[in-house]
Amino acid sequence: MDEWHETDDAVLAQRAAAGCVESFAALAGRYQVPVVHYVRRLVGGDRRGEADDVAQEAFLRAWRRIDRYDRRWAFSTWLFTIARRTWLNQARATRRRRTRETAVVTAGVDESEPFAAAIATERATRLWDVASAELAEPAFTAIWLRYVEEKPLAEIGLVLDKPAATVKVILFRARRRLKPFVRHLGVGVE
Amino acid sequence: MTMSQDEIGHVRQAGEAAVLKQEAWEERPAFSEVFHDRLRRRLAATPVGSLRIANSEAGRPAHEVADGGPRPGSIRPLLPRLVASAAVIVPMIFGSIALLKPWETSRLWNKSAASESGVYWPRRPLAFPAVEPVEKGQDGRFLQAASAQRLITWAAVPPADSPIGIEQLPMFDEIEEGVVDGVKSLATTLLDVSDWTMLADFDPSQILGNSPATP
Repeated sequence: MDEWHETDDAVLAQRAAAGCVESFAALAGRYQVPVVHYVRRLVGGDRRGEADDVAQEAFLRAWRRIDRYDRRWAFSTWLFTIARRTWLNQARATRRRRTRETAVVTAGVDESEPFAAAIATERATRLWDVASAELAEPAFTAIWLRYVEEKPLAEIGLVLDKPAATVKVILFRARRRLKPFVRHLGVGVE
Repeated sequence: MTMSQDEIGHVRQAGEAAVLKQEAWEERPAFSEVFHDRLRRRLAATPVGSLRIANSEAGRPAHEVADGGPRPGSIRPLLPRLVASAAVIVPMIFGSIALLKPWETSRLWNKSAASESGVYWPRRPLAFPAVEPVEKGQDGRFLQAASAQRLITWAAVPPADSPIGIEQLPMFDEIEEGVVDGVKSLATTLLDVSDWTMLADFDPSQILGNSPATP
């Protein structure tokens, strides 16, 4: 087991491309938590079973197409790309893209202080709940990969299929969108 | 010491990023053995992986099988597609011809009315600005040509004795002759300038011909 922990991602991916299931299983174990976490946030709510199914499907797709992995980029970036696309395909098919159960209900909320009403009703207490409800999927993914996974702009661009400059703009707009909520929660430095 | 707006912005952004990361890591799921075991079983049962291994052992590149490639049976379904496409395209072509037929017959240039010289005659009156023929005065200079908006009506069929052809329009020859004459006279006048090195003494009125005296 220690051998897998010490082996580089690229080496494991190369072995997996040669047909080694154990190598790919080691990679899957290494990135199970971040991928599942991301997909659970994408799916939203308490639908953890559905999110885990999406994550499983993403790993299986990665396994089927492991020979297409480009070693110039981080393996986790490639996995996030597949996970995102898997979820998008499923969401389009089921037309449930923006129906997250724990999303903040924004209808009828004052645009200037939209979070105030949500706070008042105690429907949202965490910033990521707000982010998943307020941001479009590309912006949410960009914010997630940037601040949780600490990915560089270029790799976020790979996941979103957009240039790094566009990712920068998306991040800027997403932060601006979240700013009133952050201020209301008292986070950040005033 | 006060912070600039940029510094405040960076600090605030860093604070927001820290909060986002902290919140995310607080809810980070633990590693799931159940998830991993299920995935391993599915990986082992995935046919594509098994197929790739089999082909790798046989010494064949994996992509040859992954991409599939043409199969003998895949040619036969192509024929009905071609027939169906032709069944759509051919009526479209005939329909287009039927639609274009009236337009073709009412075109401005009627090829059936072409003269023997190959000049086509318009069937409808055309209006465009015409220039009076340029005439020379007694001193050889061109007279001021007057422009006028004229309605020129062309006969549907040219008169039998009409010598008109594009190359025989009277204006062009005269204009060309006048331009050639002008250039020749200008060149002659310039050659008459005695000393090209004395450009400071050059008098343009020499060329114009109305100078009282040449120094």
